[in-house]
Amino acid sequence: MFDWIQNLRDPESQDRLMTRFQEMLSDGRHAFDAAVTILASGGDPASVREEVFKTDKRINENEQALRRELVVHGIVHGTSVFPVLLVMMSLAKDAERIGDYAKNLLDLGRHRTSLSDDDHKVVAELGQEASRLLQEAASIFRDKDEEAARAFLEKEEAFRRACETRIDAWIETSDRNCSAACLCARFIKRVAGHAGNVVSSVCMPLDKLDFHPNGGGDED
Amino acid sequence: MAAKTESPPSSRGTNALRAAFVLLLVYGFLISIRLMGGAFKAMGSEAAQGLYEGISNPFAGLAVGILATVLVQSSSTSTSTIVSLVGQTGGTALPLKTAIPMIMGANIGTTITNTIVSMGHIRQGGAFRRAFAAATVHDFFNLILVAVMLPIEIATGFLEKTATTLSTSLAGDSSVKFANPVKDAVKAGSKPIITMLEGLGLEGGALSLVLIAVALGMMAVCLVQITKNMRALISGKLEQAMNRVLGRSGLLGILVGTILTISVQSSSITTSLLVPMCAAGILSLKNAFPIMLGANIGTTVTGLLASLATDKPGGLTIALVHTLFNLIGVLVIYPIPVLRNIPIRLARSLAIRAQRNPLWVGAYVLGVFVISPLIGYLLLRTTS
Repeated sequence: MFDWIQNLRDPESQDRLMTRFQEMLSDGRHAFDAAVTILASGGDPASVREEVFKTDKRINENEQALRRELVVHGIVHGTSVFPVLLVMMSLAKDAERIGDYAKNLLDLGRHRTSLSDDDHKVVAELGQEASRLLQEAASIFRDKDEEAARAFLEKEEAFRRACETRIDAWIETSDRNCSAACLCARFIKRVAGHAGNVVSSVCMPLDKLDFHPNGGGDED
Repeated sequence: MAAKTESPPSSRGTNALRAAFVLLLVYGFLISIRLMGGAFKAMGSEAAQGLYEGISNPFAGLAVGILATVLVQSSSTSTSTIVSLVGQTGGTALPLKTAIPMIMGANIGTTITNTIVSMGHIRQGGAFRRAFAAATVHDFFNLILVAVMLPIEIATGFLEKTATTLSTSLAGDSSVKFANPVKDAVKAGSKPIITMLEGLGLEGGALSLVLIAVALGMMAVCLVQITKNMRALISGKLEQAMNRVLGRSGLLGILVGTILTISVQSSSITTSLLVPMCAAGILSLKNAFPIMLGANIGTTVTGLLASLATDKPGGLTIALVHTLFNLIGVLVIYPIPVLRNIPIRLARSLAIRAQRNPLWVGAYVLGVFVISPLIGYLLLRTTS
């Protein structure tokens, strides 16, 4: 197991930093679910806008606090904790981006009339699968389960491929404006990609963070 | 939620061993204080008073305090040495009046460490400006404090009188030797070393020189190891305290600075942690300042500890002078925004100049910590 997290020197620091990071992941999923649900149902994005933006603000505040705490950790404990600080900085950015994509998805609600019933269904399916991946990623990260991490990365790669296939199908076969639907699938794919980046930290060394054990990974 | 991580049993065992080692080091430190006293006794009262005569001018004493602390890079070592000299019996004791400016000088000298730490950022533009300002705000506070308090002390003897009253009420009259079990235990540890050196045929000046070397070496090693081990012991708490104090100001900062410095027995450790935080921009100068003031107060505990190993309440009196001096400084300067902002503005202004032209850094460090005290000492010593 690539257990770099042990390099955080103090058990209380580990707890504090990990709790903060898990809160970011949990908030990210909450904002993402709210945005996808409203898009898939064709509802008014204004009804969840405040909740999504409030949650994203909380994620951003946690990211800034996490960064400050990492700097303090590095200053107190010295250069030996340097690699783990780099990993955490990178992971915090992944978690923060999930909140941003939730807002992007919500913004697409302005073009909800261009989404057909079938599109709503596809968005709902993709969104639910990405949400499950987010939940699983948080759990694998918490348990530092390397085997589960490797299996997850394969699943996540397959999901991203499925999103691409869906986008290709929309572009190549549709005779209507499917930009909003494509962007939805694209944003959902990116959310899954960030979940994969988080999980890659469980089984990959620092230089291969965001990449997969079989050489694939975050192509975006 | 992340599962709570518990310290492994091996880590708890290591910590217990480390704590026991720290206690042993404190005992070693107290022995070194006794040895220093023994060294001056071996020198004889005439020679010792001859040495003290040269620094009877308060400004010469101040200069010696700065230079000695810069030289050993530790105010704990210099103040503990002063405490040991003042706390002696007989004619070899350093007069309290002479020691007070030296203690004030040690307060100034100790701040060079974090100024040196800030120089590590010298090629980093804005980060260097913030780091240098954080380092020098401590210098400016101590310089202003001495500029105000030393003339008042010369004119009124306020610190001397207050500390004497306090130490008399705590440890009895200065005409009697005050007894305590710690002192007896320390005596039992120092005596074999002196006896062994005497057994080697050393006496008088030679014995005194060897004892000074042994005492200084032992003091430095013990203090460095106490700091190192305490830092390892409390690093988690240190980190939590620093996180808690980020973005806050005032009393909490002073309290955190005091407690951390007492714990690690080194103001330089506390202040040197603040410099990179300021450089990184996560701690503002305004919020770092009270922590540094707390460090000023916390560092005086080493002198109080050293006084436990001395024969006369004079050791405790000079240690209390150090505490009172810093406490009064914080109580007078920090609550009044106009006064509080003076060192902050001076530090910012110097840092801007230093960022534009690094020659300012060299001129400032050499001027304040080396050349001025050296010239002051040489001039005032010869005229005294």
